[in-house]
Amino acid sequence: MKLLELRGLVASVDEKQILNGIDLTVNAGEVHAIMGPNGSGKSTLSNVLAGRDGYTVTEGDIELMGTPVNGMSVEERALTGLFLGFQHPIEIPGVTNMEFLKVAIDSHRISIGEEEMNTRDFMVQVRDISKRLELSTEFLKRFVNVGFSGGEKKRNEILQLMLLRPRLAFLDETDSGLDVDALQVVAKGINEFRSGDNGVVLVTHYQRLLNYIDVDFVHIMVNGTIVKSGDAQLAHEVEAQGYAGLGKA
Amino acid sequence: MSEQSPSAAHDFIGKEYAAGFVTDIEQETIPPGLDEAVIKEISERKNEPEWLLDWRLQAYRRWLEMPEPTWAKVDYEPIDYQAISYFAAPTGDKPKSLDEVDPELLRTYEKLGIPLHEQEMLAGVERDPDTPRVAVDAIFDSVSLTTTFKKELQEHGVIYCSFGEAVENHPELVQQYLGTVVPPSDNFYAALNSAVFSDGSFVYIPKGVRCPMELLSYFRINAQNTGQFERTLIIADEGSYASYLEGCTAPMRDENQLHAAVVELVALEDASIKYSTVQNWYPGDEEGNGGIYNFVTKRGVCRGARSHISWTQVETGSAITWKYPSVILRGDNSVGEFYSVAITNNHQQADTGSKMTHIGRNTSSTIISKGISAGSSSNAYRGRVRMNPGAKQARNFTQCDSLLIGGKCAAHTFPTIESQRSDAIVEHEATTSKVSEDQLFLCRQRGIDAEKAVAMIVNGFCKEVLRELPMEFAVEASKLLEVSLEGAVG
Amino acid sequence: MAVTQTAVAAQGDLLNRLLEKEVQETPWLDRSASRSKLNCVGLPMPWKGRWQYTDFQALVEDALTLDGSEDALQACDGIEVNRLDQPSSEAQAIDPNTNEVVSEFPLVDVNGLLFRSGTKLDTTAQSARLSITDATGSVDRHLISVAEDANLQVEESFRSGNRVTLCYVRQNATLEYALTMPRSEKLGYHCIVVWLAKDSTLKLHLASKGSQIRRNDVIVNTIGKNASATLSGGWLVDERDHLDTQIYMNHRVGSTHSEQSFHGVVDDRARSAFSGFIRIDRDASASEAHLTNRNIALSPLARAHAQPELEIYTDDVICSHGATTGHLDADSLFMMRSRGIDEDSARAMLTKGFLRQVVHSEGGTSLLQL
Repeated sequence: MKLLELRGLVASVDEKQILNGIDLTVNAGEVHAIMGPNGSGKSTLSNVLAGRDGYTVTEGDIELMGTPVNGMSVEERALTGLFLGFQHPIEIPGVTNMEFLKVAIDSHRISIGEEEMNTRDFMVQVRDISKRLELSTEFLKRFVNVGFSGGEKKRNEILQLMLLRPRLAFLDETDSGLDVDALQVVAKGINEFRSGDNGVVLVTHYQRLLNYIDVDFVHIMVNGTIVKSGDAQLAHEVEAQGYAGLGKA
Repeated sequence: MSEQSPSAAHDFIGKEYAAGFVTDIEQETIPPGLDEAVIKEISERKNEPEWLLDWRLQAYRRWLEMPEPTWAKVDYEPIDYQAISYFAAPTGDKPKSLDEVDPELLRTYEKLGIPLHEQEMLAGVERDPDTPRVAVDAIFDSVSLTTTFKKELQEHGVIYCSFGEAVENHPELVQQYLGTVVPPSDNFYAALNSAVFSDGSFVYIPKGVRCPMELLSYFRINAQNTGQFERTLIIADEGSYASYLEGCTAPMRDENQLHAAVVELVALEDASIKYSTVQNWYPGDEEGNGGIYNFVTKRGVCRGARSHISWTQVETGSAITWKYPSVILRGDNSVGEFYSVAITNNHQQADTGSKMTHIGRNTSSTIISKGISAGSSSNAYRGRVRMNPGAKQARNFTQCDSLLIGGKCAAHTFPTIESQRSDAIVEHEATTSKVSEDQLFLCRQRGIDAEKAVAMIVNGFCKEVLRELPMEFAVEASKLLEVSLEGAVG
Repeated sequence: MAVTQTAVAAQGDLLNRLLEKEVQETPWLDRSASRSKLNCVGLPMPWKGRWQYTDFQALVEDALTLDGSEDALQACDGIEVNRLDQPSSEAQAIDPNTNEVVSEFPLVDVNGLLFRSGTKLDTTAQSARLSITDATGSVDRHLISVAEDANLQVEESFRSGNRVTLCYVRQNATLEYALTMPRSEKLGYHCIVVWLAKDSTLKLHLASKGSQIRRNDVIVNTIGKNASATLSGGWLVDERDHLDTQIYMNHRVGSTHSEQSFHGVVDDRARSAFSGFIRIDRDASASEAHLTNRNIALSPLARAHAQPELEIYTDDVICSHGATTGHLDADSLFMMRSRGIDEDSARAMLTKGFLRQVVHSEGGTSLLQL
């Protein structure tokens, strides 16, 4: 099943065109990596997919789970199954992580006609995932991302991913700012999440995350377009040659 | 798309005013206008003793000489005090029991969720043997309709009745304490209230008694062109405790209505008073038409050693709020607290805060104020902490936080610290932040709709204050603030 | 009521005497803006608002008696100096932006009517230095302009009298201003008004003692994007002295930054007041402003008042302020004494340490003996 299809996607931010025609298809069971230098439009792509205010599609189509996203709000896209992993996780003072996770999962359940999760089941599940991500349960009582270390913030993103179980995870620079240990934990989470039913897109600057996650496709993005696609081998070429050589190709 | 998040934020704060209906009932009012004859008539209708009439007249004469205060950060057309009616009451004699109350009035309270039958609970509160019961004093325009649980309270020696009844049955207590905390000459609105106040609540907790239930006064303005001027006096005798709640609503009307109340609290040695308000007067429409002018003087005095007065307020209503619940810490080791959430939206204006005056030794006070502004509203915290020369080792901590939603609203913080003691410690902290687009985006990307997201963020922002509300009121406040999840997850 | 009327009459009388005393000998200086503003706004009511801790009338009466015209300029490199008391062929606006000085600071206009000496100072070099000294007993005014991309360092000392300096910091320029106010038996009013253009920087540093009555106003307006202001300083007020410091930080355009930190010490029977006002205009989104003010009272009869205020008209801001009044930390005192330091020395050390956190100018350090 097609989870995501982009056809000739052109998009701009503040009337400045950043994405210059992108084609991409992600099917269930696939893991893709989008690599590219800073300023190539990777983060813009994540925000456009999620439907963030200020990001405008000027040409082309986006389909999520086979449905065009035109006119869908941020939360509608989320409830359709799109999960965005944030490069810089956002802090929400005053709102505990627990509260936030509970409301998020309940919103998903209500959208498919299920009842709110009972608190005990919720706690059991959250504790279990936290443990697997080597997060102390203490951090569940803290405010969302407030005072979290860089590694904790990223692990918190993965926790949300594992809890909400979206169809398509679009993870923006999830590896940035992580030491090797944290990187392994994050990779482990992503590997546990992936299955034949869902898809993962890893957006990254470096290939080091790919040492821990097997990817099916690698796309190189330069100046708002995908200039080259291939298998995992392509990531190693990038590592060796840099983006500059590929961009001209 | 781009309009979605601000409008969602707007929808959340700007939920339709549910208490905006009018009760169609026959009323008698004194025609608009104010002079000594009107004051005499109010006093006569209420069968008041001579001393109280004199007290009113003196206040009125002082009021005539006083200028209207202009220092608050609020802006409104001058009020025509001669266009207001100073007394409105349902026709007929005061009902002796609930059976005699006009069914239309009973329906009004039913709609508002206020229990006038003693077996009922506040709307929204589930029956639970552990939940403390609530005694209600229902004040409709200028008169008190009924006070529940009177008998049971009497068995404990607690007096909880309308102000009028207190004047009739306990004149010595009223005379001893009335105006001792807020003297009639205190300010313009206090003087006006002292001259024309109609009804209100009176509470006396005798020595050593812990009041067995929460006391709720529910104020309802219904009549048109009428001001409400209630007066509340609470006395906690030595070693006693009372928790008093106050709620207020009014119909949606196009013109502005004046509400100028005075509340006086007296805590004697080792006594403790907890006073909670959920103020939901009609705030006016989206264009800023109509709404209540809420000009209120609330002050408590910790007279005795180790006494304790705590104000908690959730202010969501009124076109203009002008209100500074204060504590005079006279007794050694006494404690004053002020917890406030004030939300303004559309064209609402709030200028609210607290004054803590430390006189006794080792006194301490805490002020936590949370202001949320949305729409084109303006929300100001104004406070003063004063350490008098005798306030040895006094302490104050003040925290004022403002949250802004949208680019057209305003938030202000005007604290004053006056320290006349080198061994006193006063700390003030303030921050201003906004509900950021990033936060909303994160929540929405996780499937939480913007309305719920704003509610969650606002609720988190107010948490320290909401926690101070008694359970019964937390329910009403959470409905007002769209609290989700509090208590569901530990 | 009667009292209020008397006060109003007294204010009117004072205003009339003031307007009559407008300096006439310098027709080349255009004082009309100050005159019309005083005429239309009037004088503030005593002991209210911004004047609740300082005797406004005494300062005006004092300014009316001052007639000295001592030269206050000592040294300057890379600056063109024009004396305002020298005749000039064309009329000079003494303060083209006078209307922007908010009405709560009427002594700026009192100065505008009464000043007899002063200078107009324009930087001519990329990097310039300037020193303004005491001009005891005079009303003077200085107009300082820092040219685009230039850097100006000002060192000023002020004891008593009435002085206003108006500073225009143009695009990408930097003004470093160190003001030192030694103790004085007399009365003094001092005001600095700064306008910050795009990408400009202000670093203002105060160090002060008290005087019989001393009021020090600082008004900073950001009028260009990315302007930034850092204000810091400290004071030690003792004996029966008085010091009232008021900062008005006015963010008028977006993406501007301000950071303020002031520490004050009051001793003996002295009185200090501080007001730090931060205003963020509707058009000043993406601005950031922070203020801290800490005060320590060393003696039981010393008084410290603090009034940090925020007035914010847009949501896209980061603001905070904090103020404390208190005394020397008992734990630190105990720790020092337990190491054999006597109490007086320990107190002195802690007090110095408290001031050293914010006072770093050479003049300030020596004034406060840090």
